[in-house]
Amino acid sequence: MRDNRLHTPVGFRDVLPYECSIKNEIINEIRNEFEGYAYKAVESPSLEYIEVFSDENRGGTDPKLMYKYFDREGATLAMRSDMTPGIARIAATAFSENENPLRLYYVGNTFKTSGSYQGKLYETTQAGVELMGVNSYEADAEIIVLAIKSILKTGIKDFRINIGQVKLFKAILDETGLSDEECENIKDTIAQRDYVALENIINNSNISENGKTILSKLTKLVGKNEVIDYVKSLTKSEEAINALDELKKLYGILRLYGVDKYVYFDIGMINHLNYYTGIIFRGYTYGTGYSIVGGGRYDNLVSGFGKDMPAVGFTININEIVSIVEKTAEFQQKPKTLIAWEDKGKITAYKIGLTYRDNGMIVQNSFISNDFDANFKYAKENGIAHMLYFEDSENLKVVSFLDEMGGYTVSAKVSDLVLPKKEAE
Amino acid sequence: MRYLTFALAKGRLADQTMELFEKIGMPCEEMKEKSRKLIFTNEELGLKFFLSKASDVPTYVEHGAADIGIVGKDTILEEGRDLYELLDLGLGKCKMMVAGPESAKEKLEKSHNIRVATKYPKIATDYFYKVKHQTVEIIKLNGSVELAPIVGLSDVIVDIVETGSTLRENGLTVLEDICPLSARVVVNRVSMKMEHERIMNIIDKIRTLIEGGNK
Repeated sequence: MRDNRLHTPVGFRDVLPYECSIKNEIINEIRNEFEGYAYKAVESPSLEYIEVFSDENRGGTDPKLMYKYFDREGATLAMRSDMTPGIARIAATAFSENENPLRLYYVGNTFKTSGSYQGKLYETTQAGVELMGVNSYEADAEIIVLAIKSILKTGIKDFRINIGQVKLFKAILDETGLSDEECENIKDTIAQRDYVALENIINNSNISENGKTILSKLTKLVGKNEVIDYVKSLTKSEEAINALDELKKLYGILRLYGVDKYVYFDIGMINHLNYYTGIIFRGYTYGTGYSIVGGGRYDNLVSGFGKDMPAVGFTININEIVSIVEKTAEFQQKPKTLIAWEDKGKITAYKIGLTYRDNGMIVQNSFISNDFDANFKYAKENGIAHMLYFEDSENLKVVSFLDEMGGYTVSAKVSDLVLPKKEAE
Repeated sequence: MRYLTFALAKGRLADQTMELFEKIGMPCEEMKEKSRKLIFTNEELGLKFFLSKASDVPTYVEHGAADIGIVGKDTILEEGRDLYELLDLGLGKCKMMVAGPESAKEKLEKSHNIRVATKYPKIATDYFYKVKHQTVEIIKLNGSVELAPIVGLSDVIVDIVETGSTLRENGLTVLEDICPLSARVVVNRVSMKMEHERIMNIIDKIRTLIEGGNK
């Protein structure tokens, strides 16, 4: 019989020390980056009223995919399926207008199921920021810069950020002269990434020549400023031209920050049209089939919580980042020192261990044996950098495992040990 | 150069696809030899190919284990994965249909308590619930679906029909068309961005070849 106590539920898993240390390190780096741009940390609860997450008109989560409970009054609660709505609620309810622009960040877990046997995690860790109360290309640029800088801090270098613009796409669609129904169909096929169906719609409709050119090349309109210029040559829509000019200005700021090489304009990247109202971007890298960061401008989201407030932000998928860093980068762990002792050396061992720890070193008490060889073997097999073996209060053996010989031993006097100087109090 | 990996649906479609690839200058000699190998490479162009069960192709591509997949539209619809669908190869053309004995026609139009046997429960559910707004009972089978109405397991079936000869021989007939089907090129979401130039180049070559062939 299967013993459920031995298993985690499907979609949930334990994070073991090696992975956990990488994860924490990554989160620390990202937090520091966020704080360097003056974003302040907030936490929203793991459980909220389901309405916070389920608003269909604002890109809400399908209730089928949420973990749901009833509270004592019979109201439906849901586990946090997305970080942003909770932050939007906080922004709308806990701050006054004169604190704008509001810069908030979060690190937290989200809970969402998917179809069975798809190998996807249902609990994932997200770190992200929201910049609220300003609607400008400069705010958009700050967010994209911060996303790029944050990813760079995790050690991933070979990645791309693709930027689309919802306003631009809507303006282009308006210009095609197609009926509302045809436009809806086009949006649907693009949301489903079905370009075969898109081609059929374009070929069987009465579409303007320029509109046809743009829509049939949608998957190819990816690149730098030349893409912007090309699209500009094919449109007369004032709104589209304004949006294109803004993208160019945004690119100028990215260049100023020296992050332009990571960025590509992607005119066809316009999924989630219900949610995003301006720029939309996603980050991709090798080694995973999923995007590592996603974000954009959603000026209608906060209004769902009773306050009109433009907003732009992104969320980094920490789990994807960890899985890549784990596979590719040689993760540098801090060296560990093992202290072991014979009974006569015990008190000295404890004291010196404490001094080292107080000065930021990682020191592990042995506890396995008083025998030198047993400790030597343990240290060698468990990635210990140094071992100090105290024979008595004056004599010890120092073993270093860092050299190529795989461990050389010298005898030393305790009084010879270089002890870190105590800081003046 | 990083390998571009292709997942091909086993069988005739894979053979036809490799013929197409050969014509656009992407041959894989290894694949022609008889062997027990699972993955075939073209080192010169940095390409890898593997064969898998058709219904697994979207899974490999969605996770990024393959960058590109060649698979029937029926499988894409049934699996419902998040992929780019870029090109209709025009191979393996057929239709997804509702079929059954002539007598089921009236029931199909009026009744709500219809039993539908199919290998494609998702396609059948989407069709009856979203297109026809009809509540039906779906019975999932794994093969020889035509049997179901004959032995009384279901009223109708939802299945792929190529020529209709199997249906006719068993006294069944096509009752409704659901959608046309053919082989498609699907691409992983990340590959589409990271390997954009290489992938679009291949797509363009295939497109030119197909369009030339139709003239």
